[in-house]
Amino acid sequence: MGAVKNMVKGFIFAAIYVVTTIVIPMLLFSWVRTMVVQGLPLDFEQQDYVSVIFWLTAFGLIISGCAFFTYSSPKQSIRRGVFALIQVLVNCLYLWSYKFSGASDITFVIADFGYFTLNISQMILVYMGVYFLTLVLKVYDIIDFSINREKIREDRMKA
Amino acid sequence: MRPSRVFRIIFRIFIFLLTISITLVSILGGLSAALILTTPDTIEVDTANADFDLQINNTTFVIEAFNFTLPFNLTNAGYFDLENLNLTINLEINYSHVDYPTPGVNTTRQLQIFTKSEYFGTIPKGTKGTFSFTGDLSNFDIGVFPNVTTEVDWYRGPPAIEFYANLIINLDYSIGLHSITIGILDLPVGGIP
Repeated sequence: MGAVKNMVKGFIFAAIYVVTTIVIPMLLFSWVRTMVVQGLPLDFEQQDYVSVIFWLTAFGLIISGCAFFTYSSPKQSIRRGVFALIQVLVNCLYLWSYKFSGASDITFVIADFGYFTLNISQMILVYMGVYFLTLVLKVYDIIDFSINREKIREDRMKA
Repeated sequence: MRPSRVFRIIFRIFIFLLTISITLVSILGGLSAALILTTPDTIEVDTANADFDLQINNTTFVIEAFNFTLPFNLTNAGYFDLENLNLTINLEINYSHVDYPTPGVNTTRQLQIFTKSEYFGTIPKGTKGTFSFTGDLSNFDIGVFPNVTTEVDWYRGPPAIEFYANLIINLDYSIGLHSITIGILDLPVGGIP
């Protein structure tokens, strides 16, 4: 029964990550493309848009896959710790993909007016800082789960 | 509960609060940027009241004085202050160059004659900042200005010499997490005659 519960939990979290890492950013970029500035429509290079969406989808799918394995693993297991660590590392790559796909510094052309550039590099760096702390926590988890393996197993049996 | 788990929970709560704070600031910053850009007349460049004074000596045809004033307004419709507002203006002239590149051929040229950046500080949230950009001869690139007696085709136009401005507005938002650059290109500001 516990295994089924874990599988359902894994699917739910994978779905949450699909929404937060793929669906929401995709909707956001689509919405930005429809924005009207000073009464004039924004123009975004199709190639840039395709590149941004490709990298977000690619890393988003890997993160969602990792989330499934993380949350479907038993609590305080080494397997969970390892997948959680991989997930954080892929999350860092996902954030970095905003930078190398050009999404952190996008220029929109406003026809007959000029252009508009939005730079979110600073925001990405701050998020990277938070992910570093999360990385420390996940490494700590793996060490903790390994050292206290017997105690965790005993507690799991009692429950 | 094991002490290591208690330490973990405390650390986890700290990371959670940090993530929530940054996410809130980012979402509000993004919404503000969208509000600022989509609100009509956020950027009002008052070209009607722009003062453009170019004085050329009648005998030596040397540029003696140049003054340029451009009033503009910027409305901050967002949730945070707009910081580090910086405006760069490049002035360009468009004219027909006589006998260029070869005698008997006139070519339309566009030359940058003026460039200056000015820092305007902060516009508090929900307010409208009214500023005036000024420039003078020290920002003027005299060397590139054509010889008005021999090089400018005065039969073209009017105006024979057209003046255009490129405005580049830089500003920081959401405690510096977002940087925005808005470029207004080829804005007509005047002409001679």
